[in-house]
Amino acid sequence: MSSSKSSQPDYVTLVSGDGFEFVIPRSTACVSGTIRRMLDPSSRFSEAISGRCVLENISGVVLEKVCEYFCYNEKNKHQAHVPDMDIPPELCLELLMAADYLDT
Amino acid sequence: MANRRQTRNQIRGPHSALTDFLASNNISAAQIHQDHQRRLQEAERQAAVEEEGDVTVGHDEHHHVGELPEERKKRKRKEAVALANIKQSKEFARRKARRTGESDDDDEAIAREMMHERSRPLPGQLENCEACGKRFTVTSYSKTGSQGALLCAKCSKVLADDEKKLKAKKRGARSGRRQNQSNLLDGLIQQGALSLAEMCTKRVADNINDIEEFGDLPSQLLHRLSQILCKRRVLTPRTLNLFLRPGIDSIDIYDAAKLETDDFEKIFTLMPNLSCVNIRFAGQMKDKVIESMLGRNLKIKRLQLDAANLVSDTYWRRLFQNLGVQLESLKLSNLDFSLDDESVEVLCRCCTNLQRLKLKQCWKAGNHSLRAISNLSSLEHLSLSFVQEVHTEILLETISRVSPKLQTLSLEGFSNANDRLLEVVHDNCLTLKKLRFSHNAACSDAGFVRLFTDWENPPLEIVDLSSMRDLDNTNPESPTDAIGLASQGLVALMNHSGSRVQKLNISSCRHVSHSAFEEVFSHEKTYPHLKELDVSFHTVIDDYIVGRIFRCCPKIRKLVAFACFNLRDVQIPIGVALIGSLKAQDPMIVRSAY
Amino acid sequence: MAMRARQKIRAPRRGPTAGKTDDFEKYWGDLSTSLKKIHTKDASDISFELLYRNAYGIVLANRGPDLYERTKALEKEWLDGEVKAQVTAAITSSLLLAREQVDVQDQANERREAGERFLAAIKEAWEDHQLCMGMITDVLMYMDRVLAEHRKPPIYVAAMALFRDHVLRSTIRSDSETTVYSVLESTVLFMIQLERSGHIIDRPLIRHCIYMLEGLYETITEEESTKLYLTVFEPAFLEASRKFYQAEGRRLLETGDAATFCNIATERLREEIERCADTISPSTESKIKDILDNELIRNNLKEVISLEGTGVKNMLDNDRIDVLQSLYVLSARVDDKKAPLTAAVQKRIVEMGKEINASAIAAAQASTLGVGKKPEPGEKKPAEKEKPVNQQTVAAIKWVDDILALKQKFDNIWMKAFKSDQVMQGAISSSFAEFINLGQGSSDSRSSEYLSLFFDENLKKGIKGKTDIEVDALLENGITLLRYVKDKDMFEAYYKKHLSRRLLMKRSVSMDAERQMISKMKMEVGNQFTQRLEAMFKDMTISEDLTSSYKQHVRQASDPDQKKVELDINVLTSTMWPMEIMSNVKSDKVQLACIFPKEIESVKQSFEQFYLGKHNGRKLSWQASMGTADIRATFQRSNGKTQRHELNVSTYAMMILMLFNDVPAGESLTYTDIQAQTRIPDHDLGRNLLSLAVAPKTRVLKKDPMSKDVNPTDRFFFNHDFQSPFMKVRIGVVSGSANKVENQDQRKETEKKMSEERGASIEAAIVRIMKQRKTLIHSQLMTEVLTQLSARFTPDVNMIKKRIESLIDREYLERVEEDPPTYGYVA
Repeated sequence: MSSSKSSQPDYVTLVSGDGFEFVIPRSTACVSGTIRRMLDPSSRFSEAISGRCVLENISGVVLEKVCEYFCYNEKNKHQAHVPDMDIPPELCLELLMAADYLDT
Repeated sequence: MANRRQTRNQIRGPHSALTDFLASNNISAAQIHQDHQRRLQEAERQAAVEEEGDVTVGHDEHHHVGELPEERKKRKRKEAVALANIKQSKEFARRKARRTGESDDDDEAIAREMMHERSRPLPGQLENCEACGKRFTVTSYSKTGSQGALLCAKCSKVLADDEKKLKAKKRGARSGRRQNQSNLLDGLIQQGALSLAEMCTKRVADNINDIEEFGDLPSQLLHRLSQILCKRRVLTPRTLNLFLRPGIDSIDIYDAAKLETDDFEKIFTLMPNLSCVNIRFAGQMKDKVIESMLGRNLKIKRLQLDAANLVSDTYWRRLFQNLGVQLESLKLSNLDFSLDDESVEVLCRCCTNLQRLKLKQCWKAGNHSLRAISNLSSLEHLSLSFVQEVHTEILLETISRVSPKLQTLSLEGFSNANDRLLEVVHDNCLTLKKLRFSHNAACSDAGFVRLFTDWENPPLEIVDLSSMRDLDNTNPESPTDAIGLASQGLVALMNHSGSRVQKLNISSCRHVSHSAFEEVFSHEKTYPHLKELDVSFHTVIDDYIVGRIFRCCPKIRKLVAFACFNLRDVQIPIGVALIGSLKAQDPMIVRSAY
Repeated sequence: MAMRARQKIRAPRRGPTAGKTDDFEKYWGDLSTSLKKIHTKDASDISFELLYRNAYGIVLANRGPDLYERTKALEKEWLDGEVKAQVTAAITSSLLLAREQVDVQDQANERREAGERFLAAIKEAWEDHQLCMGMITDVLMYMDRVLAEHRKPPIYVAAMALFRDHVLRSTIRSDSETTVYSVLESTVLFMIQLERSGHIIDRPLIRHCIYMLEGLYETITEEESTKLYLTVFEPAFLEASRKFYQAEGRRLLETGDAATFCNIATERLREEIERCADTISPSTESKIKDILDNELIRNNLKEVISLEGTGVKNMLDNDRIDVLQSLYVLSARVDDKKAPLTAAVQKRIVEMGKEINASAIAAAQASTLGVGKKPEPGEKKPAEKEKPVNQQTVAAIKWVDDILALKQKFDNIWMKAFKSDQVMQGAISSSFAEFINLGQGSSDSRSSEYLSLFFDENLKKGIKGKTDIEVDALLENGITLLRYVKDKDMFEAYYKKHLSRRLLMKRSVSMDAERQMISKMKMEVGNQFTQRLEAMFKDMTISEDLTSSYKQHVRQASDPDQKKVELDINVLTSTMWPMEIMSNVKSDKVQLACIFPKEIESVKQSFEQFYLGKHNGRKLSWQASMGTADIRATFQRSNGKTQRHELNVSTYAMMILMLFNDVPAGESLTYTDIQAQTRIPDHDLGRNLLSLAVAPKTRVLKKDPMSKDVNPTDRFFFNHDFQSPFMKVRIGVVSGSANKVENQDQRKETEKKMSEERGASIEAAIVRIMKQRKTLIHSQLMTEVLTQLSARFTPDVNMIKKRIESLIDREYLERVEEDPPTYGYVA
């Protein structure tokens, strides 16, 4: 995947602790404050250089849901009265922790 | 199909805790009673039929074999009457309304179906379960299966769970607008999606009963969860346990009404590191709890207790003595006849580092308390709402003595405080950020003009001067002379604080003129930080003024305008909640009538 | 029906530290190594996620506050050590030496270079710190989020405060009191000082250091007002600037050139504005402008304006529009009213105006002397026709022209240099009014008369051959001056007098121009003012009609063979025309009507009959002094020839000559005889006899003894030897027929009349006001009278009082109350 900071539609890779990889548009990933800072080109951390974020403490199942949320958030950015996203109850606590971690 | 949600939209009085409990378990007393009555009637009717030796298993009334013609005629007539009655009933109308568009959209069919439902076994009888076929005793809680026959307890529960989920989903979809209106009343206007954290928090709250522990959930999320649970009134002894984690130093329970005395003790036992305690509706908080607190050498710095009116004065005093100088913030409200003047005196003697003090609706606090408070030299925030009438002199002296560091001054219900209080504030308070002074009929407009003119205090950020008006029921027209904050006062206020004010409440200050509003919100004025404004009961407010308000306040999010009858057709900017105007209420009325 | 087994929701997996506080040190160890790497710009192999996760774990284990403090300590150590060393290393002795002034050029250069190195070091340290703290804040964002609820300032803010305390405010050496900041301040001020004296400095570098001061605060809450820039640097900068401009002001005054001052001040202003924009902070602009305004401009402006030789006087005299303009701009900065400049301009205008006044008076006196030597300047030769009547009139016209030129000059200055400023316009106008009305009420003030003469001269001759536009401009100029004349009634009197002469003697070049003039005055001064003038024109028109209809009447009624005397008559409404023309009363003596010759008397009676027949109840009084007559005279030469001449003479002269019809040749009439037979007033008789018998070209009579004055005993003969190359001879009356400056007696006369008229106007005004108000307090009455009359003249307060008294005596008013004095109107 392209990780260069070009003006092309830019994708980044999110990797879960258990090794699942999700390739999503940079702008979408930046819904998360944490990932946004992680990828900030002005800071010279390895993630910003490689465009690849390994999220050690988030599992693949949860990260998938997180990515789903990123897209859902992008899609509903300018709408009022957005219906809630469906969250399986058994995931909700873990997702909550992830959301807190990712500042989302 | 469920038939008990139909009462949902009827307006009811306040719930008792029991009703809430039953409701949360999907049990309605009225429904049970109704069902019971109906079954009794059905049974009687059926018994009458059976007496005539015409028992048919499965209650198939379409095949009454061996029926005498006249009996048949009689039965038919009865049935017709029953059907007619059913057709008249509200239940029928509702069911029909619900079914519109379905294939069996037929009055007769619906009516018959309902009649079938009614002719079910009475509680106490034995019946075969529709789903699993097991034989079971019918109770008043027995549910109807998909075929219309009754289910056993186990299958009922499964069905109930499924139904609940279904219902939850349905509500989510249908009550969206209603929820939005409700949010609107709270001043919440959501743009875009909720944050994932918020959405998950709500989901966790939805499933609170299925959660065993919160794990490492950080305290800020616990706080938010507690808020949601309390609002939904589901913070029970069970759910409380989830919050009790020894590592955390704060606890916020906004509604402790369901907690028992033991639960309170548990809080302090399990959380030895507590420094911030906020428990409201703490009705069961008793001396015993305080006693256990005292023994634990807690490091409480901030304490907020609401409705803890069973604690005796002895224990209040011991608590204050125990906490002493470590206490920085104390908020006590709705203590009724608990906490007397002497306790407040002990408080002020022991807890000399108090920076924040709030005493609200503590009925016994009076002049002596006030005098004691005047000795608190570190006070930065003071909020008082007394029930007892106090001497103005004492109030003035107290305010002038605690004023040097004061950032918040909130006085409610000091009905005999007059312009002199405003003078004292003007002369002594120079670091205020928040000022509340409401429900008073003794201050004059000129007093407010003097307060806000050449006041060395920097601009205020939060101002509440609501209900500064004469309240005399024998003179509904109100006096012609302006009482409380009026035109000139408002102009002076905005000149002084307009540049920083964020929240402003001037509701029911009835003497502000249209031209004063025009002046305050004229073209060249801007109030860059004003987010919330309450102008309820200002009948001079019209569409023009509100339009001007929106122009002058670029950051406004919430405009409360109850009883502003001249508001007719206001253009509301996106992201602004206009609360209380007729236009905002109209759709509410229409929708709650379905 | 899907059945879901009841499922317990799993608690989230624990974070890395999982509450085991022992792990804190381990995680902090990793974290601190990485943070140090960030400072040494060695972050590219560091994973953000790892740091963030470590910090998150620590915070989740409730060790957030510890993390915060450790990070602060780490920063402090870094700043105290590395950063401070870097910065102090760049401080050289030259930066510490002379902290005030560096006079020697190469020393200044050396210091500048050292300063630039030092500033660059500071800038680099600051920018590094910001960048690194940005990264560290990002990594620790979870900590910030959680600790915000504990009312802790963000770590970034805390680290900035550390920079302030441990770098800027640290001493440069352990044994020194001097802090890095004080070196920074003195260096920046030194640079600015250099730039002010014309050197080129590295502005962006200074700007960066200022950015730093703007980004640091005194308090941890970072209130706007506690920016270091505002609390420390700006006051120092302003103080240094104050001193600099005080000195500069003194220096410039010593050089004593106002123009230089203006140019430099203007340039300094521009420089400082530019400096605020490029070198320091735009927020200082208004404050440094205040300093410039106060120290450089306001304190020195007055002296600059009055600088001998180069001040405003000089600028005005030499039309230094550019300098005046910058002076004006500078004045406007410090004073809305531009008081010193205005005063200087006003003073100069009055001075120049006085010069004009004085030269006019001098010219007039010179001509008076001339008159003494040459008593008959009124004698006319064709060649002299185009010349003004006499020197005094020349002086009058020169006066007007001079003032107009002055006005032109100042209008030009006002427009170009003073940006058409309203206040200045008012001031200039009032100064013009001041000198024009100088000596008002005394005999010195001749502005009204001069101005009227100016119009007279132009309407008689000046506008000949000019286009309408030129005429309009000429009149407009005059009107401009009229605007300044306070006593408009005085002007009116003169104008009326001059106009009446022009009208009666038909001397106007163009009636259009006359009318145009009237309408201009009407616009300028008002309807009331021109009413009477217009009435005069009306009288003239009516008279023309009257004359022709009378001629018609005579043709029809009278017997044709009678020797015809043709009559051109002007019937004048007595109140509308100047009094001296109208009155028969002179010097309190009742003057009997003069006796016309028979022929004339009959014509007179015939006209009176005709006129009164038309207008019953009117009274005609004949003003012989204003009339002229054409008579045909036959001269019997001694050689027996007869020579005829047509003589155009005044009515009086005609009457005198007619007497000689009945006098046998060779006989004579004495002065007394003539007077007895004609009853011509002494004065007029004398003048007429002078022109008939003494004036060299028009000696129709001979006088015995021949002398240049007329005595009652003189005898007069008809001069049959009268010679003239022309058929028609015009015999003017010695003085009086032309408009010229009055002599002292006439002036007194005019003034007396004036004051009578004013008295009447005042009374009229009083009665008008009182009739309306019924009762009025004295002071109010005074005010109202003054306002009502101000358009015409400035009434004398004593005169008003006297008039009120007089009205009370005559029972028009009564005293209603004494305290305050109040009057009532008696109906």
